[in-house]
Amino acid sequence: MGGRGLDEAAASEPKTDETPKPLADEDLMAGVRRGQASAADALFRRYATPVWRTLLWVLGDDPELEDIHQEVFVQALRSAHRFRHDAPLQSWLCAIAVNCARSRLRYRRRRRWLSFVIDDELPEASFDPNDATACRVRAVYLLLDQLDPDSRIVFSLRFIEGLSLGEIADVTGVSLGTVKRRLRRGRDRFTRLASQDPDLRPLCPEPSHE
Amino acid sequence: MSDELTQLGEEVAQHLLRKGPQLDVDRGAARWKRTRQSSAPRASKPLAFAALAMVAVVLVLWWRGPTPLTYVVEHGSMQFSDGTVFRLAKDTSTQVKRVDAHGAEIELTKGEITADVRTEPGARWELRAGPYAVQVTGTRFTMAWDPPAHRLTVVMHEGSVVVRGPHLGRAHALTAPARLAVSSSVGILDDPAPSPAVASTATSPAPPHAAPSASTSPPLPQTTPAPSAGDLLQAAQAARLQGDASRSRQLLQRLRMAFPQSVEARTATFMSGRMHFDAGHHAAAISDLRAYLTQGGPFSHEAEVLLILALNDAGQVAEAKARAKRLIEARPNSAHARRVQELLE
Repeated sequence: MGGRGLDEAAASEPKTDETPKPLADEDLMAGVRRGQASAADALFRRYATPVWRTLLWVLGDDPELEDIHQEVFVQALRSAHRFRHDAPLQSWLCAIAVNCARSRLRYRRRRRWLSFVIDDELPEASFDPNDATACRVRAVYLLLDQLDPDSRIVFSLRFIEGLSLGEIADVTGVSLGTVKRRLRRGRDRFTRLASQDPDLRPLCPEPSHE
Repeated sequence: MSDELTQLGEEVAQHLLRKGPQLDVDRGAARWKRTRQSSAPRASKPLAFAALAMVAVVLVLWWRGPTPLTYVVEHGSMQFSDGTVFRLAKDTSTQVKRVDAHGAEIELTKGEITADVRTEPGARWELRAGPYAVQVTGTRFTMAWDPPAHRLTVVMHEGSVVVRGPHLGRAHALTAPARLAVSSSVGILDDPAPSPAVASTATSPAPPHAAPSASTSPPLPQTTPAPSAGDLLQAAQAARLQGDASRSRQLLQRLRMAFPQSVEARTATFMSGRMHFDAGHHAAAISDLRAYLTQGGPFSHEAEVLLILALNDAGQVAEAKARAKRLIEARPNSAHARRVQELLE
């Protein structure tokens, strides 16, 4: 699986000379299915980073990010018996992460709709008004909040995580055609909104209608 | 356009990697360990379903209990489903206060009622009139209540009853043939055939004239049967379900003292151990669970698991590990094996 920084997954593996050869994903999942605590812990350590990044790209600086991250692995544990080895373990976990992120986005939309509050979900914690990049990042997530969850997920996976369309189809569990349709819808809406945003206008000219 | 978005996306990603929320893998892994323990299924699905079904059946039975009696009122009589009949004289007024599987409580507010009560083991029939209560222990009798005079009259045709109320001491037993008339304002009016001691039972009427008068009747012995081991266990379980652990433990202790050799006492020992474990009383839990395992019983496997966990929590790690190892070797596929497996890791 491609994407930005995903190859660094192995970086979170424990590295000591005494460490035996890491289990293959297949053996790891067999252990998880048997209820082995060590396998579940190893699964977390091996894939904590790529899962975290998928969530981060899709959700931005969400205050519940750590909880959602844990929830992804809880879901993985519960559905371990459904994992088939015809897909990479990382893709399977990222698919779960995407599902969790989708639930979170829907929750946020409901909450916004109910409370009429928008700004409480923004990445204010890392926002520095004197930092032009921070301003743009903030603006990007402000606009992404206005996309429907499915379009936002595809948009984020494509342009922020840098996945191919095929990889996005795998992770989201929809057809390539659906991915393209959602991507087009998200991109058009995003660029239309970005063209009116002072921080993003220079980078995002008028949307195309190709 | 896509190139511009790709460039923007890359900038976003790099910014979030540098300045966004950072993942602390070690901290996350520690939290994951706790999360996993609290969210991991404790039993396989079939076992969980079986356990749930069993709990549901027990709860249904517990809630339903035995089927209450039913009754119909027609032609001046109340006929209960067990065959008991109360015939009401003209202008008689009654009120049924309680009906359960073992009998009923009926208040005679005015008039006369003739009872023909079927007695079964554990039957509880009671007729009330003003301040008086007539506890039926299996009999045919007629009872009248005159509200203005506060006068109760009981005429025994067969069997016996126990009457309680003003001027009757603690209780007054009447065994057929007998008649009692008493007024709460005056006292005993008519008791030509004083009844025997109340110690007599419905099925073994004492000889007439063998007992002192009502006012000197000896104290009534325990008329309510002493609770059985099953009763105590059921009461303890009910108390536990209601969250009254203290009372539940008391009842379990009483059960173990009163019926030490019973199956219920063994179950009580296990329950007590489990409750102590849940409350964090490791020493008491270990003691009870060891006792249960010595006796053996259907909860031996669960008791062993709890004992291992209690030993571990109490700092007796070596024994906990040794027991855990034996348990996993003996039953590697047990749903409980997972709980103790971590002690060995």
